[in-house]
Amino acid sequence: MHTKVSNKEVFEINTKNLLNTESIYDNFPYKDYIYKHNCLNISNIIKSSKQIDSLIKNTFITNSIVTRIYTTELSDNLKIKNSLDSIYTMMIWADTLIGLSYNGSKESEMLKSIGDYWYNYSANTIENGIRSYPKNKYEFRFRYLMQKCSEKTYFTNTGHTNFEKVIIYVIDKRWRYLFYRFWNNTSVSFKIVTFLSIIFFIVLTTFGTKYLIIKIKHL
Amino acid sequence: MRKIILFISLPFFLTLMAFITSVTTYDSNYVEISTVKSKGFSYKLVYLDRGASGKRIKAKYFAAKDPYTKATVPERYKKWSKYKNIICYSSGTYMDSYDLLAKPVGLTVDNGIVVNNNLRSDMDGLVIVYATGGVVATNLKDKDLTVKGGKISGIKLDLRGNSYHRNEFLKWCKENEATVFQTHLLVYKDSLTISSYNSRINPRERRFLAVGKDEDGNIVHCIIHSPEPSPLYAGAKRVLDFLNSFEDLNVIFLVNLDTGAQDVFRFFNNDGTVNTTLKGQKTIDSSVNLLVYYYE
Repeated sequence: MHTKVSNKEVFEINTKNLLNTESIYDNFPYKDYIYKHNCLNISNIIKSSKQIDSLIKNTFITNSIVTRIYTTELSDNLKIKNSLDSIYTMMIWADTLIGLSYNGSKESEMLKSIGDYWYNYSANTIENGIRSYPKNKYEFRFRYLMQKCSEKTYFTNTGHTNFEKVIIYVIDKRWRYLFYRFWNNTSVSFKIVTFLSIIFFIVLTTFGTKYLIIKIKHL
Repeated sequence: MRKIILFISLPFFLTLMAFITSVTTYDSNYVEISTVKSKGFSYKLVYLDRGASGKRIKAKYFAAKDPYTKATVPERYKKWSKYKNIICYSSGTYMDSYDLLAKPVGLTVDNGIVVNNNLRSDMDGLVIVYATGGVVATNLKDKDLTVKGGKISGIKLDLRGNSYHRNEFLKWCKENEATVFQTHLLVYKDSLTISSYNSRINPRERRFLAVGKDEDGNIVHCIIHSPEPSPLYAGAKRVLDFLNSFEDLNVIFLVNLDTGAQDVFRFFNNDGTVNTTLKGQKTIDSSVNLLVYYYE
């Protein structure tokens, strides 16, 4: 990977398209750019931004292009492992970018945007991990990463399993809704089994109590 | 002497009574609640003709509890609604839990303040409630969100594909005190955007918010409650068909309103009394977010 960025190297790729500022955002050679530069080096982000801006002279488009390079294009072209360790490393990188964005430079907004993207990416990846295996949400490492996302107001929705929902509704005393859900969303066989279980429970309780009373009387 | 006092005070008393009885919270020509049966299914429909009312019918969304004062949604609503002519309120979009610590799911901005930064990849609808009371929605897949005012005015924004666009949009929200929430977009530009393969299949009673244009080109907001349990796709399809054919409405967008664990809904008659045609199972005190329509 190249670490040196020069105007010549960047704009040799497709000079014609870059001359048209309207189509520049769509036609920028993102893939070539990523393969020719070390995109994980933070100092390159600022260099790229300055070089592209010197030619385009439009801060909005420059920031849009550079942000796209270091976010969606980078994630599409790099094989990112969605392991918890990778996500943690990503967050550290994003923290650095967000921290740098507080210096009030011309590139601040862009650096923050890149950092924000990777936080968003991390939050979504964690959420998907929990959706695939709901038990993960009780695991310490997941909880730690979710908390780290929450600190930056990236709240993950881990959802509730059906059993957890039933518990919530019972605590909430929503008997009518529980009955409604049971009646409308369960099969006939499930209804029959539940009905028979209730009958069995009532019969058992009645006869059990009766037996106990008789036993107490004979004592 | 008594007769003279009575004679003098009678016109005042009658005028006062006439005034009291004529006080209405909104013009019933533009607001209607009804129970409609169409093709074997019943619908409870709140029809709000915002266009014809001269934009006097307005929407307000409380996305979460106040991040600064920590006031809950019911507290915020009670404070805000003083001296307001409330038409109806309903629970809005999805929350991650149903207690006081509940956070909205997906990108959410409340009055310009970011409540949740997490732009989800599985919900394509982004609803913007303007401080002026208007509601618009965009399909994030189309990458063509445009806003008016500020340095991003008229520029097509790709919120999902470019986080710089997203951050610029959030700055715009702050400047314009806009409220934004992300949700499942069911219908956009009069076409269904979901299918039976990518939507929830569990049959549930459904409640939707639809915004469209009537035959006169007026913007109309509708809250449609479908009590018969149906999967999300089937329910949305049926409601779109109903709005197109029965109500002659060209639907701009249709989004889902949560009727699950946070089923809050009240409709008020124009004399301020509660209408019982459609009532949520929970009271406003348990609301964790709230979409309110009022008349100003």
